Amino acid sequence: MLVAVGASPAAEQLVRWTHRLAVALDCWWGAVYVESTAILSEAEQQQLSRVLSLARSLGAEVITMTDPDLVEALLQMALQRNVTQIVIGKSTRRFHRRLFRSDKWMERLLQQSGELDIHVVRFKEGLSGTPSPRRSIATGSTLQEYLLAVGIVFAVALIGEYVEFLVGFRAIAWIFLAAVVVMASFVGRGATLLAAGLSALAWDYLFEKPLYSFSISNPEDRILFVIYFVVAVTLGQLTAKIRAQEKAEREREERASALQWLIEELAAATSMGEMLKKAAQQTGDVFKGEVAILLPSSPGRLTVDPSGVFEIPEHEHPVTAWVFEHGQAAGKFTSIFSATPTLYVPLASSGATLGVIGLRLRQNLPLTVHQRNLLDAFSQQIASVMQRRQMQEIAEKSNILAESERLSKTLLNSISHEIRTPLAAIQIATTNMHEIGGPDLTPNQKTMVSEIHEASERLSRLVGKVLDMTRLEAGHLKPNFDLCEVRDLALLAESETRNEFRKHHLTLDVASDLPLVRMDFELMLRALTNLLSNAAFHTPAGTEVQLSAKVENGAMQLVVADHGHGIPEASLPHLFEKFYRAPDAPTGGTGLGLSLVKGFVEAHGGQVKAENQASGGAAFTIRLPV
Amino acid sequence: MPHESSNERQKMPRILIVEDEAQMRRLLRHTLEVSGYEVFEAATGEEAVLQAVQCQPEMVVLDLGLPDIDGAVVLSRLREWSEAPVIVVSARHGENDKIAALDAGANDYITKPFGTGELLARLRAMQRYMRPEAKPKVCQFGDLTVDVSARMVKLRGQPVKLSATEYSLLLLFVQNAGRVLTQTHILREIWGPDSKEKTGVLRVYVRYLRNKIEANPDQPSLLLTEPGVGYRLNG
Repeated sequence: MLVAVGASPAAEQLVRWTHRLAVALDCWWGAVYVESTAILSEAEQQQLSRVLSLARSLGAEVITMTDPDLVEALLQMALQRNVTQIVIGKSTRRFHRRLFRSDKWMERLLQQSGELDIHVVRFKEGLSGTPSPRRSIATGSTLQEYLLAVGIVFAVALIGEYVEFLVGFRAIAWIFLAAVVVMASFVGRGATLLAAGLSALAWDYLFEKPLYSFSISNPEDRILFVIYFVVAVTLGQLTAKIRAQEKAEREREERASALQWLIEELAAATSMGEMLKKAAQQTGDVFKGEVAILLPSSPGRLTVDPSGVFEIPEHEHPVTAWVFEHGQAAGKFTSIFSATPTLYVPLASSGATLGVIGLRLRQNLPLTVHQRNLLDAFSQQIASVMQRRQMQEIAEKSNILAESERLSKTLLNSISHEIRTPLAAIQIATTNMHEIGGPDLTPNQKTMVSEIHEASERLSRLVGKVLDMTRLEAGHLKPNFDLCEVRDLALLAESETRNEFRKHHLTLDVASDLPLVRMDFELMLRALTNLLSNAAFHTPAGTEVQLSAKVENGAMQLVVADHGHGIPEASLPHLFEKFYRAPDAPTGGTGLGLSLVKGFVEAHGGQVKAENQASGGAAFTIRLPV
Repeated sequence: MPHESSNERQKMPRILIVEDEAQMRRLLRHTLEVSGYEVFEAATGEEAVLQAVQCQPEMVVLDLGLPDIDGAVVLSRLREWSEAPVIVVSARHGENDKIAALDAGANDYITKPFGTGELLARLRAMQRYMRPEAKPKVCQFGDLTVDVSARMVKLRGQPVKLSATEYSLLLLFVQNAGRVLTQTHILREIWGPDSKEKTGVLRVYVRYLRNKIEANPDQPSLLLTEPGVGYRLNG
């Protein structure tokens, strides 16, 4: 949805009307201002910027275009933005409609609109005492220019007095005309008009017969006088218009090159800090003011980036926070917090507000529509570069993280492998002493050897767990599925943990008619031995532990239940996390066992859960699909 | 110790240790020499092949994690000319390597870290297997008696009725008593070459067999499961 606006207070009504409709339809909307050849007065400029900032604050995208043909421009924009509805205003007064020739272009718009819906909205004129929206006849000339105009006319008249006897009084009119045209190229329109009128009168009074009288006796001279006046005024007007267009063009050029320069500078910056500094500097230079950039340091808190040049006083903080939160400009020259001496514009890119830029102008002149648009373009550009850089930084960080994780895994893996060989040597040596040299050892030596042996076995189990973990995490774990006997599994798990259950009572309850289960025997064995070791480790000596297996609800259930103290409620949700250790756990555990169980079981498409039994003690259940 | 009869002491069995870790080699050499073996060493696969030709070992202990060539390659080169029993030493997680080595002609495996007693027991079992005269007609495994010539199986003196398949399975285990048999191997021997996928059938027959020959089928002590690899008849 697109609304066409101009520099009139009525346009505000139009904008509000369109906003209501757009909200009701929940659609994108934009406000278009088409800049034609007409030059706006300062008051009109202000009015226009009021209209556009209203549209902006209501959530519209503000588009300004330059095209002498309003209808053409509107339709083109509608096509570009995929707009289906255009809103235009009409005055209730016939007189105004004629004055704007709005009837005419409205008709053309309707004729050429094709598939588009055109809403013509009636507005009331002159509600407030704002300047009349008549096309500018403002003079745009300074007092010096008027004086210059008078001076030049006087000078030409003086020259005319001297050369009249050579060229005749009619040629003097041409000299005047030349002077007016030349003057039009460097003074304003008002001064040109004054010069044209004054010179016509001067010629009539000083050169045309009868001299020193405004009456013109000769009909030929009368025509000359009238034509002279018309030509002088027209030429003056035309020259002034060309100059105005040139000026507008130059300004456009300046804006474009300022933006281009900004883009280049930002792209060349090597770091975020440098980028922001350049952004602040450029914005300050272009808008002739001081700039501060605020970035969110933590959620809901904005801090001034050191790139800015002025400190933001305490009482302006709510303004910046508001701008950041709503993604809309506020402060000076806007309708929100307008008492603030600073204009705050959000740094927004693709819907996300990344920060706020504050602009404090050195001169207290409001920004023109173009400047305001340029500021928006600046902030958008800065924001999009920031966003790109932030994404780049995130990508780099995650790269570094992945790299360091990979490195630590590799390290862990190779170290674990390296540890295993000497460990195996220790184990072989100690069993050797037991089995072969047993009888020759003193009781003390025997104790020492069995201590070494036990320690090496513990270390070996730990290294095994670490290796299992690295394999699990690296995703190298691919179960070798095969149909297996659960009884075999339970028996082997029992025999492998026999040492740990020396002081406990482990009972097996495995039904004899269990079906074969598809699993990786080795992995499930490790899962089960880990559960059993865990039970032996966390319960006091003499505790009963039961390993049972049965089929329930179409799943094989392996339960390791103990009659110990149970698991603290607070630990239950974390039990299977890597390196998690319950606060009251005895020292010596790694916090790896249960996370391995989870990993192994999940690799089988099964689940593992821990709970406290009603009868006391903990129960760990592995469920595998049958 | 039973194996150190006066008969064996005269001629010490030659054994080749293929192991890249010097300390492990030293340890094994010491352990085996104490137990009455004549020990030869090789640190790499290439060296192992050369040493094997030179020393003509009666048994080989082969580590699968060699620095130069794959243990399985060493094994197949050795098998080109020698029937000497080979025990492969594998790391944990190396199930696939183990099975591959066993299928490539290794006679048994042992997982690192292993106890010396375990290694010596395996070596003894292999020695028995290698001596043809040591294969008696009647074998005794705990409470189980198998009379191969008469096709008679007795548990604590009571005859056990076995189906044809159960008997051939038991016979296979008896003939390879003490050795690990991979599932693939068993399936091929009993059910023919196209039965690789019939592991379920094998499990069921092992269960039947255990029910008939084990003193306590819930706690098998004869027909043992080798996790991820296969079965072994304890003997």
